[in-house]
Amino acid sequence: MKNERKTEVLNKFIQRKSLFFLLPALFINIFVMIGPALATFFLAFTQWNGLTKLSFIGLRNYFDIFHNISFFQSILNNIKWTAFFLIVPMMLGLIAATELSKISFLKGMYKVIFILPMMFPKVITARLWQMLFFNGRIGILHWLSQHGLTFLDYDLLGHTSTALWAVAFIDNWQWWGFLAVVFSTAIDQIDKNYYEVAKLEGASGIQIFFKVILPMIRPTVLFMSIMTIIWSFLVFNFIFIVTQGGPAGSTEVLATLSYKTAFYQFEFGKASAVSSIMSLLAGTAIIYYIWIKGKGE
Amino acid sequence: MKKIILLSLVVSLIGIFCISALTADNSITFWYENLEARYVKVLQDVLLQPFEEEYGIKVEFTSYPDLDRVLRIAILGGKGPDIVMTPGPSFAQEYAFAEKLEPLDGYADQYGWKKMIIPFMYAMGEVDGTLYSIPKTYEAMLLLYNTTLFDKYGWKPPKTIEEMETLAEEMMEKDIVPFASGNADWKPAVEWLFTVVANHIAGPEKVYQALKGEIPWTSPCFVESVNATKKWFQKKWLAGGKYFSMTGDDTYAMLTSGEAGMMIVGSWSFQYILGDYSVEQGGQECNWTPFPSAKGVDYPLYDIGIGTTLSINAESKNKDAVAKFFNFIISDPKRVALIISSWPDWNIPISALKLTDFPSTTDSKYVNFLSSISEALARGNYAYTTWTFWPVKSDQWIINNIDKVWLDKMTTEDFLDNLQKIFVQELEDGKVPYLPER
Repeated sequence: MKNERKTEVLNKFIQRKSLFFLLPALFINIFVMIGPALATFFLAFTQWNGLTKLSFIGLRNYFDIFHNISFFQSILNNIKWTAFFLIVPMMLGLIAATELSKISFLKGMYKVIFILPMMFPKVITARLWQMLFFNGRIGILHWLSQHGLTFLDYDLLGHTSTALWAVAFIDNWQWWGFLAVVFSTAIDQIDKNYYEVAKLEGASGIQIFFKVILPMIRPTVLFMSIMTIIWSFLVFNFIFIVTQGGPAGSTEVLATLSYKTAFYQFEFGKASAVSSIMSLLAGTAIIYYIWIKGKGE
Repeated sequence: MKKIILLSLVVSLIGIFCISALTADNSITFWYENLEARYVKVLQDVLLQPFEEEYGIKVEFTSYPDLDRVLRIAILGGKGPDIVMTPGPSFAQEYAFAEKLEPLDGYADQYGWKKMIIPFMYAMGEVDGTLYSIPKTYEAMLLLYNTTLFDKYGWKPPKTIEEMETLAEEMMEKDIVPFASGNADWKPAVEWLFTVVANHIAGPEKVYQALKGEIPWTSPCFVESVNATKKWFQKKWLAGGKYFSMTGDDTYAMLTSGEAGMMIVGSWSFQYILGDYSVEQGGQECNWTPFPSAKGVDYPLYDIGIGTTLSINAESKNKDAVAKFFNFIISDPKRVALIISSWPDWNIPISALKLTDFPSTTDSKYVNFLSSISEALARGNYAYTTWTFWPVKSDQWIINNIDKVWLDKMTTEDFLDNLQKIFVQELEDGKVPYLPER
């Protein structure tokens, strides 16, 4: 009894002490993230050009952006982007991770190769793909079109129907390998006995994937799906570097719209309104995730 | 012992204070856009070093790839460089309205800048009658053409829009791209096309009236102008249909390699066709001609822009030193000629500049341009670039939406209707930059 009491006191002491260790991170979160986020939310109700005094205008910024067709086009592009990244890199990552689980020789080397694109700065990656692959004069696609593959003579970044997918392709090149490594690590944690039992019961490779692997790594897949949704609504860098939202707004997303409204049109209040909606949409995914976790899934 | 330590401390503090006071006047900070190393050397050799040698004031130079954004944030925070360089009078105006720039009238009187700078460009630096910025670069829209190609096919530089369009058709038949153009790395390049068609098809008088709010942007002359750009785009005259994936380097390479016959661009292009893409560097011979005009519109006509302005940060502790530097830049025509010939981006509009001030090594193409534009300005044959004469939001509307017209995502009428709405609001807010009387 005495020992139990001692353990309880010790645990409480450790918990309180741990709180102190969390304070620096909490401090950074409040002043670097929450503070500016609240300031942005407040700015959304003001008119401000970034230089003169700001004036409170209520909901007018929201009214203006909801009457702006570019805003709805941006949301649609974010949804398309999210759909692409929930399907293509996830599938590629899962397939690669599953195949990796079957080998042991040079497994580490494959993981390094898959994650290598993530090591490149996004600016460099975007520019390289824009110039070396998609450029209409010196790009690989253009060169191939001049050497027999004439159907490739198509300006993918210059057409509204293909520009978004072309930029997504660049981002996917850098992203899917990271997912493969994350999923591979999760798959490696699965008890080998499950595979043995499944094989004994005559399960095929595909059945093992859907009935053993996927359920066992479900928390990882769910987490990466939620993060994909959040990051998709916040996407900015590749689009801004490669197309800046063009042509004709076909690659405009909420982040680029917010940036251009702030720094090209000097309407910081309106830009903050767009940002707050962007955060709300991304935040919905976070709330859903917390809810799911709360249900013990 | 304690007294010695205390005395040493006091002396040190006084020393630090004196050094700070001295160095405060002995250096000024200058933030610049991203630029190539060879032009950093030109700046150092022609301006910064001689200025430091003459006045003992060091100019601390830093370049930023996204200068305007960085500058705005710094100035908002009460910091920023001593010398404020903006992309044009409408930007300087914004800073002036926010009281972030030092009025320059006192320095202008002291040094006589009003007589030095071309009058209407001097006036563009004024806000409500007070001078806040001086022009660092003025530029004009031109038509560049590949003289090797033109000589080969017996073509003449066009003087009318009709001649230019006929030439474009002929070039297409010969698999030559009519216009090297693209905005992959500089989205606002689309406004160069709006600038030339508004001024050379509708005419500078109509543009002037619209900028004064006397006629709407929805007038038929502007509809015709915008539709011209749509026609050029849809006929694949612009970069052979690959406009959105061509960078600035691609366009110069296309022109100087003979892939393209012409290029609609500003006079800043001289630094490229006389530099990296010159004949000496393996390119074909190129030359310039005034951009053609429609029937009934003056020719030659130059769409004038002030590419960059220089101002003094209101928070600067070295205002006198900055004014001294500005005066050093513009007061000696030979120095101005030297920097212009070394680096055409520094096209400072001073009245006293003569062609004889230029070094004999200056390329004749550039000398001819300067001569021609001086004559045109003297006759009043000038027009209006969007980045200088349009207010910021109206200009951004053009940049962000004209491609929608080209791609049939928006009608010309809707485009101009929205432009009119935005412009009227900015006119009411007093945001339209100064317009000299025609």
